[in-house]
Amino acid sequence: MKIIEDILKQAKNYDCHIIYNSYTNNLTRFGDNEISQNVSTADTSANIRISDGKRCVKFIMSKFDSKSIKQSFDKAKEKLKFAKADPNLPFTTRTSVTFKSEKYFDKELASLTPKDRAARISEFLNRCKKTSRRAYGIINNSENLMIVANSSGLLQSFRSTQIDYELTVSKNGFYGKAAASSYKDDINYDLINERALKKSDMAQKPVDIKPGKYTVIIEPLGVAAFFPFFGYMGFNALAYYENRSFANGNIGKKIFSDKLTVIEDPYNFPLPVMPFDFEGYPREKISLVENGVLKNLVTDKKTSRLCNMRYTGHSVFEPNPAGAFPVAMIIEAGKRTLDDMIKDTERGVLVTEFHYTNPLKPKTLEITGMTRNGTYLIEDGKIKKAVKNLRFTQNMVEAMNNIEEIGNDSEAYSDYGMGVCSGSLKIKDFNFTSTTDF
Amino acid sequence: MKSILKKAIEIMNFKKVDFGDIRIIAERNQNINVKNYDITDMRDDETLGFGIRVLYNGGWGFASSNIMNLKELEKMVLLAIDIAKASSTMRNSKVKLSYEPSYKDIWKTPVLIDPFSIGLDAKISLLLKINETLLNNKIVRIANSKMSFVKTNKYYSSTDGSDIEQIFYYTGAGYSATSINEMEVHTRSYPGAHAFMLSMGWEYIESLKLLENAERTREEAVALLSAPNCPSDERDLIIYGDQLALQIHESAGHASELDRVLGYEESYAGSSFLTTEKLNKFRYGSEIVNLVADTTLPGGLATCGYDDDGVRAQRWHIVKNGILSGYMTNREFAHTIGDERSRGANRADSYRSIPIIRITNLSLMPGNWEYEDIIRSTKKGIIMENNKSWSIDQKRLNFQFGCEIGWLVENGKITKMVKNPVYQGITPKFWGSCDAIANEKYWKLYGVSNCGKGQPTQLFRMSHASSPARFKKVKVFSR
Repeated sequence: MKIIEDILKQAKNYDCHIIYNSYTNNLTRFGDNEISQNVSTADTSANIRISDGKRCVKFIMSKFDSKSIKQSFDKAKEKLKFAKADPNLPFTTRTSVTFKSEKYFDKELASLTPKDRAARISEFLNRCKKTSRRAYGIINNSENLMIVANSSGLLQSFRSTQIDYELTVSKNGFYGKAAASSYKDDINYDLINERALKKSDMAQKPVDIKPGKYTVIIEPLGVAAFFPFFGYMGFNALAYYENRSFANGNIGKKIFSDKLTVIEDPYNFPLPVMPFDFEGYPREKISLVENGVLKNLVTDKKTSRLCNMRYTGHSVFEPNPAGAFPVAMIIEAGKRTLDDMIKDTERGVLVTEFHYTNPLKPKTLEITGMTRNGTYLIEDGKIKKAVKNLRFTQNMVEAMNNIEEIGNDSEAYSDYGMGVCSGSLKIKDFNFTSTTDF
Repeated sequence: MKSILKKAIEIMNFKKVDFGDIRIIAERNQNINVKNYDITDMRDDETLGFGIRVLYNGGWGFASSNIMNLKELEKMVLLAIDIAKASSTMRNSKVKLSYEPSYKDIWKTPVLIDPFSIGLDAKISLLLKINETLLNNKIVRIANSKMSFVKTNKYYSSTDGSDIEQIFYYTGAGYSATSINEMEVHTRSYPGAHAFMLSMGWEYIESLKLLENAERTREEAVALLSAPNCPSDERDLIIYGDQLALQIHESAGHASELDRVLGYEESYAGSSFLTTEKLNKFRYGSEIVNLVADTTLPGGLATCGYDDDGVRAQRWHIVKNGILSGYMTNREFAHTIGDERSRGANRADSYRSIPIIRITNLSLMPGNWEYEDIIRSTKKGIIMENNKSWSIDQKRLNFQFGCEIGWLVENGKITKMVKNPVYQGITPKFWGSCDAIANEKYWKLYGVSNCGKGQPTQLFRMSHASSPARFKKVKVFSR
């Protein structure tokens, strides 16, 4: 690619690493049964690192004419003088691999127009209008090209598409939500629409229940709202090195329910995952948790050295202060349906989604958040009524040890570069600490 | 630049759009981060791009690009019109914008010392010295110090006839010390957990007295490991600074964004309990609670000449003597509360984003208490400082905040430090329990630099000023 060649030409006498990104993002947003926002963004940039073998600097370029490239490099070379020598250099992957991945690219999805997006939702919005319901949500299609290249001849590219459909339906001010994502134009809109409708119908006339410990069944959307913290704060080798992870002292030990198996699997995740990391190293499939035993963490180049662990291909453009994160966590599905799990529950709470989750304590992953968009009381194996939303404050390591069952209803969600694929989780003694007014 | 602005308006007028505008934004961002003596970030990047917003047949369209030529401009204007046409097929009614005069103006953040005129070596040297002080106790395992400087040149033209150029400066510095043992992790930060930036020049860095506060920050981080846990009971809560700023932000700021109130954020950030029939009637807080939105506030991160609707900066009450008195509005929604003009709270975080209603600078106005008298008159209380965790429900009612540190107040005296303090409440009950606010001597501005809203998510900046305030009988506990 000419831009990469032009950048590398300017980088002679330096180790140079390039992460080139070009994307378009098209998002139609609807609220109160009408299209409220409708946007298209196209952007191209390159994150670059140059190193003289002892020190390095990083910079971003968004103009790629020869004059702009030269100016950017001149500034970077000047800044290099101020950089501190880094004993962890060199980061640069010294291989001349050429690799191209288009496994997650769908030509039809890439060509979806604003009119197409409107057509996919118009019938349902009209139906909501006629039945005194209100629909809110997004339909978002994006196309992404990522190239990781360096002055040692590495050239890897990843081209992908993704569509996300999120729908919240309100009836009398009580909400239900369903969502789906795919890299192909194959979302079953009717299924999502019916699911959200049913959830809002079931959410009518919610009653108060007392805060306390309950058996909960958390649906996949809810799991996606808290499980990423296990990635950022637990499976991250830097957190382990800094002694701020639940993994400290626990690798090889059974600290979770034997029902829980988590695999970081970039090659079988249902949504787009770049098969190499931002240093161009192939991502590895790794067993993070096996039948409740904490097996492995993910590493970048730096933490693999610091922790004396294998480099797993999870670098985020080094050097960086945040460490390494898993990007495609798959929680092994169980065998039974969500309905079966509900049938076997004497008393419990069914949670559709969590809102505004945030960690309080890193070592135990104590997390707080609110339920949202459909919270129901289960009694004698049936959903009996809707309940007003609840706040949980829960040690999540303990909660993962209290898993009684995992459903076969796996769904994948991805946000801020971290993917989680999980079925519904049935957890005993889940701690709800307060309630709200709706 | 001018030729692109002019051409965009020409095409939009030729295509007979209802309304159209263009923002060209050139931004320079300098970030330096030092962690345990490693320079983990040292960037000085520039971006340039434009965003086109079009209202056509009552529907919105927006397109942006960072390819700066007339061909790309024309492509984006036509794309924005196509998108607007698609939007107009699914409208309950046509979007109509409130009136705003057209302006030809230049506005600039007043700065004494341009932060980009200070050399990189001086900045790095200060951050390394802070790291050294923070790490001068083996219990501290992680020391982080950072500086950020932003200069934004924004050029705005609209089919209404406005041509506005604005230059913004944002300057910030802060640090944290993290102490760790086998069981726990504690972080103390300065000047706040979130608050480290204001809209000023290098003079803000000088005013922070960064080195002077580093030793205290370190020692508090160390002491927290052996401090007792916060008790679990109901007691009077005294908060200020970074934590009170976040309390204002989450429970009053977001709750008063009119797009949320009307339900347009329901699918993501949520809505609000402050529905429009409550305007000028609903008791939001006690009589001493006055919350004022102000985009003219010196140093505020949302301070501007004009918002991204081309509306001139203003000052207005959100809560007056405890009663809900206003909302954050834009030109699209102002009419829904009977306002003829927008309050000017429509902003985008970059050229890539469409403007949406954002919290502006929103401040709790000072009361008439001396801070010492607030402490002296507290029998059973707790002071909490610097936010550690935050969460609030989708209508902004049930909130729970964890703080870095607490100090018990017993019989009018500060007695001991406690760790893991958390408080929880319901918004109007909490603000209704506010019985003391310190006077203007203690009134200080704090910045929030990472407020997320919208889809795709936009991160924006705003400030909240306050004096220390006391809230009666709040549920507190340790987590």
